[in-house]
Amino acid sequence: METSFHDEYEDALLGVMFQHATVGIIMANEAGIIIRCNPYAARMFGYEIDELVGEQIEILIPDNLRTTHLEHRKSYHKNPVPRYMGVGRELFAKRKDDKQFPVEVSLSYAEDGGQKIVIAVVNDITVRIEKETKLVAKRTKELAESRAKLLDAQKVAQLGSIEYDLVEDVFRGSEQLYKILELDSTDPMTFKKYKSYLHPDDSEHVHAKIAEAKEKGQLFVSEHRIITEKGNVKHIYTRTSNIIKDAEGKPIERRGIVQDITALKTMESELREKQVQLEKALKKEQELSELKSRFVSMASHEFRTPLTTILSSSRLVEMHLERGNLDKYQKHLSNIQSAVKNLTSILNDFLSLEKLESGKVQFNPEPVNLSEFASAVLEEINLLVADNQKVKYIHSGDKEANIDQHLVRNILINLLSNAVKYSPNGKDIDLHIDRKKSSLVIKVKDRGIGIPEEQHEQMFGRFFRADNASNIQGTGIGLTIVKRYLDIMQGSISFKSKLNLGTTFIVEIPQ
Amino acid sequence: MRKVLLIEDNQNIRENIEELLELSNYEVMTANNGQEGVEAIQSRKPDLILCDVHMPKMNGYQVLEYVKSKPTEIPFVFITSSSQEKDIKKGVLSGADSYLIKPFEIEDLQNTIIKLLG
Repeated sequence: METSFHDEYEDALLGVMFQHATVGIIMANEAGIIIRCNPYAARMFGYEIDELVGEQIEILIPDNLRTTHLEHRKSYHKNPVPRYMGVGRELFAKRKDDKQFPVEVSLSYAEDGGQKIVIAVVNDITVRIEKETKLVAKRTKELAESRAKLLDAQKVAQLGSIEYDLVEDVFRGSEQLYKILELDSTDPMTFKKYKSYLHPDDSEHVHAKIAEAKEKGQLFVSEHRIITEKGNVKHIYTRTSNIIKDAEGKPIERRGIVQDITALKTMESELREKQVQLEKALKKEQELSELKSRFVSMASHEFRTPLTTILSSSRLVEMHLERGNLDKYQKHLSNIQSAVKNLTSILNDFLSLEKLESGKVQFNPEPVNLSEFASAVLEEINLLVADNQKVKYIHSGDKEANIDQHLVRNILINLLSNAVKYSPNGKDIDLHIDRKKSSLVIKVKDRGIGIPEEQHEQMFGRFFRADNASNIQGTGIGLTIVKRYLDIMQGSISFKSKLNLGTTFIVEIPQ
Repeated sequence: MRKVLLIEDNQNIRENIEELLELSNYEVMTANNGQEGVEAIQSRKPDLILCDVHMPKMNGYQVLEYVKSKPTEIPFVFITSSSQEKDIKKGVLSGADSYLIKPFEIEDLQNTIIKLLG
């Protein structure tokens, strides 16, 4: 066959390309014998060209891969198709000094004069692989750091992230999520299972919220309690932040967070409790302050009045004695005595209250004839009543009752003297003693000034005086003592009152 | 003889002060509540008023208010059982010329009256 100039030039060019190519080009025959290789390929493998030509291609293959390569080569010859660079497995080649290095190989197939030739273009990718490996290591490190940071953040925030696959009904959660739920991260987690952890008191409203979020396609936000399998109650805050939809717009996944807010809730509850305690203490403080102010006001008035009588009467005794008015000073001596009695009675009230508050009052019930008992009390009260005033005694039921005479007498004297004191109109007073089967009911009814309705609740408070009683002497202790005596007897006291029409006190003592 | 009106609901105190003032040569008129006191001011024209604070019907402040509403100025002295500052302030701010806290010495009463009546 004649060769043209043009063909010669082409061959020369191809020869130059073969000699100077910066990729390794190796040709081998069907038997795997290297028939040609370019200088770059020889340099790549650390051989001289002469050393390679005539050798089996497997000389360039690491020992452990030779058998495999042999099989691959045979099968390639059976079905020789071009294989492009970067396609297929990661390959390693072996240098003359036995060192292995990564390569990229493309294969093509030709026939020359009946001889089957395989052309391998080989690229040493050591530098690229090193770069890639470094980059992968760097990225892996960054990812690990980022993951560690995320986990730390989740741990600190007691917050787990969650991906809920709506199609499979499976949870995928972060490590912290499993910690919050006190579960092993290998446990399969389903929505149904989560719902079984809901606290019975919260279950209904969480289910309602879930249904609502599902129906409206909204994000789900909830604060609720769960009971873990270990039996711990936890406060959970959960919020979906994202709904993933398929191509048809159907939600397939919900993503969100689950946060353990137990510590926060405990703190909140402690704070609330502290606030309640503080408010209570403050209220008590205010009550004490008000009590103190009422006491000072009452004590001032109640002590200064008899003291004024004592001081002025004693000065008058002195003056009358100086002037020889012997007939006039006697009255003042009796005034002094009466004022001292008044002071003693106030003092006794204080002492009774103190005794009651320190738990020193004894309760000694005994059978008592009620009419005789009432007569003795009325005798004392009649000394206080106005000339035109009467205390009417009504009895019903049995004549006897089991009572502590001292305590019940004090109760009656208190209620009856109040009835007299707050009946400036001199209207009659009723005392009704009703011996019922299982209780003794005493009613004291007056037709006096009454108690303003808005002050009914405060009537048994210490030193309390109703507004319409401020111009009438009194300590505001009497009803407190009565109430405390009845508490000791496990009895009760109540009253009905209408302003300017009168008041009825009802005492009940169990029998 | 100067006329002193004493308005006081406590009988013993009223009688004792009356007696003490009479022994000190004052003409004493008495009223046992605020309302009677106002009637006495109208009918008896006292030179000075001694008045308790807490009394039935009309209290001392109301009596003072009445006195202040009239053109004639009558010296007004509260005699009070309260030593609390707020009550004393209230009395003075209402226009009382002086006040005496119970129990008081007869000399203090006499000095207060002399100071106001001259």
